[in-house]
Amino acid sequence: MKSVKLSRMALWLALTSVLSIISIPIGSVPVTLQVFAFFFMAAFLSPVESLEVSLAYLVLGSIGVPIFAGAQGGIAILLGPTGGYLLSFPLAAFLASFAWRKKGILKITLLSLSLLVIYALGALVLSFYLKNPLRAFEVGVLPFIWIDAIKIAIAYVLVLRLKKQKVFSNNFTSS
Amino acid sequence: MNFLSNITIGQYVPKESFLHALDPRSKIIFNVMMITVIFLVTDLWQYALITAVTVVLMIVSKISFVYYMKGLKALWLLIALTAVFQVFSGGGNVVWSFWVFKITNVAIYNTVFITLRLVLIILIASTLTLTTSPIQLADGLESLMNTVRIPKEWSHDFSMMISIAFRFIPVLAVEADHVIKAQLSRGAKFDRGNFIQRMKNIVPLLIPLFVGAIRMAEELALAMEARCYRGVEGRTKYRQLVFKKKDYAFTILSFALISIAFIHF
Repeated sequence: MKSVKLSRMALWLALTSVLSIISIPIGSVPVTLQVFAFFFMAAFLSPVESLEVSLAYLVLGSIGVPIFAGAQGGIAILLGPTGGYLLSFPLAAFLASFAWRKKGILKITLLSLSLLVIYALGALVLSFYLKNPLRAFEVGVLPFIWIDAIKIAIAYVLVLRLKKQKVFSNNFTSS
Repeated sequence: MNFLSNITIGQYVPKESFLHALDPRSKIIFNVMMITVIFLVTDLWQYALITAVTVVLMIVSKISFVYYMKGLKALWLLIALTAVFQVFSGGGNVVWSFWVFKITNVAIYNTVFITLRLVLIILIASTLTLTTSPIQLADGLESLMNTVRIPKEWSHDFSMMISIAFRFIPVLAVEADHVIKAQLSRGAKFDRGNFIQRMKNIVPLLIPLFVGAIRMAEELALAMEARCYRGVEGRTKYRQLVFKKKDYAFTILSFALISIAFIHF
């Protein structure tokens, strides 16, 4: 059923985009649900579908729709110092979606690995701009990684609960 | 509390100009070429040339400079951060120093060029997004993907997905806003407690949003099914993309611009 698959993916794309622009004021830094949304999406779509949706997210954002964090859009963000985080999303979503299909410790390891992929690529691109890998690590990884780890832990609990309750009909998820 | 600032989806400004009338494909090719060139050039004169091309395009687009400045304004933090990072790094002769901060001539040189590079990329990208409607862009992308031999089914699905999401992002954003307000009126506190507490408070926001999205997806699938949607096979387009003479000229021009990167004055 082509239309079912297509509309499901499109709505997950829209949902991910909307969650990326909602920001919650925590301390001085507004925290977005961007990474959270990607891990959530990965739980309900197949690996290839999550890859496609995250690619579409990048395309949609780079043609100027303001769906990147902070309601920004445009190719400049993708190519700017913080673009590495965005570019890593397709890979991370693929890996995370793969992880959700596994069980127990392997699942948690793979999920952490996909978070590390985001930060590794993000810091890599940042260090091109800063010309100093250590500084990139200090500025781009340390302050944020624990926040995202907590977000993923909450996503993990939430997904387990939702899957148990069978809130989503089979049309909307593909597992 | 303002979780969702007023978002305007798409930056398209309808006007009648040379750039507006061009085929989206030629504009996308031009953008890719220009951004590649911007990353390749290192010389002052090359930058001057690219800036000149950008300014000419901005004038040809007949769109007020205010719109371009808006694009820059949204990203001023990104530009400023990059500039600050650059200024305090790099070797060379010290020009100015204060306490632990040192500014060298190499750092100043790098800062100016990297800032200029970001500004130029933003402006070039704006000439595309301001003169082309998102639906046209999606069509153009699909057609370009077909040209580079990406399977037709896949590229059609991809651009269809983008078009649907494009239409549903504002709907879901409004829904998110409603849910936030509804939960606030029931006494939900999104800005109290420690970090973990606040993340937990998000849950009553997420569940109604997800349920709303599911409902929309199912209704949409049903509507598409009722209209016998079968994907790309046998599907025709109401708006055909036509590559005209000026599009060929523009594309050739964009290939010619690559030469800027290899000419050193």
